Amino acid sequence: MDQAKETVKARALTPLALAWATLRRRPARSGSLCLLVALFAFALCAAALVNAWLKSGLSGLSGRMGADILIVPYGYEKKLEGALLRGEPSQFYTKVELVDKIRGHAFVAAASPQLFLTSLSAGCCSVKVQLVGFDPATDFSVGPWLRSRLDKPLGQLGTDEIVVGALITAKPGESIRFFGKPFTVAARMDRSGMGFDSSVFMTLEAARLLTKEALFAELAAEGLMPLGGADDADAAISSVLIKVKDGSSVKEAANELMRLYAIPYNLDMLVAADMLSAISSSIKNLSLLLFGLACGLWGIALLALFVVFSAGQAERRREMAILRLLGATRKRLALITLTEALLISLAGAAGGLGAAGLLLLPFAPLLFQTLGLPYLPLSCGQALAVGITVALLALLTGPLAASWSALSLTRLDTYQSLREGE
Amino acid sequence: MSLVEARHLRRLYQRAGKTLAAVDNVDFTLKEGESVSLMGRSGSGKTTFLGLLTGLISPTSGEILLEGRKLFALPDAEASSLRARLIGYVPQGQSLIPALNALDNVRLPCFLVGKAETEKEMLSAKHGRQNMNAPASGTESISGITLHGFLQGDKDEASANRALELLRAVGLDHLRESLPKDMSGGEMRRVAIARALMLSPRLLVADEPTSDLDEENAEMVMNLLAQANAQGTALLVATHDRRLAGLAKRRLKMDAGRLAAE
Repeated sequence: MDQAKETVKARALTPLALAWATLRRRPARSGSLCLLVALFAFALCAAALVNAWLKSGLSGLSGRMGADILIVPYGYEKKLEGALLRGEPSQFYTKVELVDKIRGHAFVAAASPQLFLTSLSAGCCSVKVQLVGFDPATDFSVGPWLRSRLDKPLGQLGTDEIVVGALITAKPGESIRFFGKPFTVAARMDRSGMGFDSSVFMTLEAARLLTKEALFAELAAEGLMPLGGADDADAAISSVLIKVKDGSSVKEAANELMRLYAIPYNLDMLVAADMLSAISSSIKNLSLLLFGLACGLWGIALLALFVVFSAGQAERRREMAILRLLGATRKRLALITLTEALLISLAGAAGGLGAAGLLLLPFAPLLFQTLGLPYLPLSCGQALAVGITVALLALLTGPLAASWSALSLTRLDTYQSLREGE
Repeated sequence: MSLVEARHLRRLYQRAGKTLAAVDNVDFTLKEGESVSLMGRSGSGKTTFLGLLTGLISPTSGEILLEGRKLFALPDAEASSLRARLIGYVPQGQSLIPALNALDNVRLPCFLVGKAETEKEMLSAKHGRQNMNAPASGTESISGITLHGFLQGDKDEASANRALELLRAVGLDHLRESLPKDMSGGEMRRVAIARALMLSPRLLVADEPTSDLDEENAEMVMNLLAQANAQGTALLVATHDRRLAGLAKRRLKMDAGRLAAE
């Protein structure tokens, strides 16, 4: 004992340090448990994010749709849905005279035409984009939305100006050529969660001019000529958006319009509420599937952790008895076990959330485009809320699964446990 | 006042439908600094008796008094603190925590009992002594290092230095970073003794400390126990080893749960 005193630096042997030391001693066991919790956290995070994205996208879609009924040429309802939801370029035509006829009905509050064109190529985009011509004088659908970013009245939008969706890579003031004709970007819109994000908006007049000019040759070459040819361009529209008067039945109005014009004009229609309801139903099914998967994984993680902790506790009864012998209270033994479980959950939750962030966030737009569902990114607050909820649930997994083991430690027979190991 | 006192201690258990007495109506006292050996055949009740005295097992009837306080009347936290403060226990067989190195195994007792629990327990002990007009004890020890002292000061550094000192005393300071899996049986037992002495207990209880050791290691363990006793720590050792039993001033024999002088 006379030897020179040597100062030793050492860590505190808190329940956290003891739990960490135990987990480190069995890296394979600890790693497998972490992986299980991470899988659950990933699945739950994916389900929660997809659900929130879809709901946000659907809310944006229903808020921005504006119209109650959308009239299109027969057979093109799906094309219109694709253009609205996913911005899938398409073009189809019917006659403009239809707009005035529809406006004449007492149950119609407003009717406005749109003309769709598909770009051949443009500097902004590697793929074809949807060009949408709208009538500033009568529009009630995209107009209010476009006004939010446009720094001049909608009626003053020139025939050489365009407004681009959030996914079109062009800044206000820049020039983009469509069919060889230059257009100045007057505004770039925020994300809408629908096909508008990859669309380009211009006045109906600009869209008509575009169809008339030299590019007609190219259109004709690709078989994309509207109706009978250049002469018919002024008479062509792609769809009529209709708002029904308050108090009138949308269904009855749609039936009446179909009765009168479906056959003479070869038309079909989309009722916005039906389309939204169908999307909402798809969203519910997808969300159910994803949450079901997350619940299943949670059950598996809980069960596996329960089994491992219970079996581990049987193996470690003597070790726990020694701790008790050295002065640990029963509560402290339970605390050490719960801390081990919490550490596993913490690592798993961090891994699962990190993986979800890395894999889902960058690829979400592509995923939703593929699924054909509306998508709107979440605000920081919403994303944080999802993250915190998932993290809390994942963190709860370990302690919940280990609670039985912890509880049984409070009844540990120290003496018997010590003798078992002899 | 006795350090440990057992009154009419009895522990019954069931085996094959029959009620057997592992400890049968035992009275026992152990004073400060005393050394007692407990011999007897396997199954005679030695380990059960030690378990009862240290509060690890509750008696069927009778009572245990540590420092004059009824051990089984105390709440778990106070009983744990009292046990940690008064008794250093060297269990039979391997008893180190596998995930901790030798140094941390020795330091461990300092961290298992909370400060609040210890203070509460020591306060009630003090009151108890005042009531019984007994001398103050428990807060001071031969080395001056006590559980209460650790809880008051820098536990990390003080415990590490104390643990290293004890490892040096048992000749194992070179193994401070080694895990139990890298130690021999004798080395593990010596670390367990160092750990039992960590809080400068007033009683060292050892259950067959030399049973599975070779002669050289057994000799070392005996010397350590004798040294602790020589420094004032009371010693209660259950053993089959006559040489170890010979170290004790009082020798007892356990037979079918009954205690008698050898």
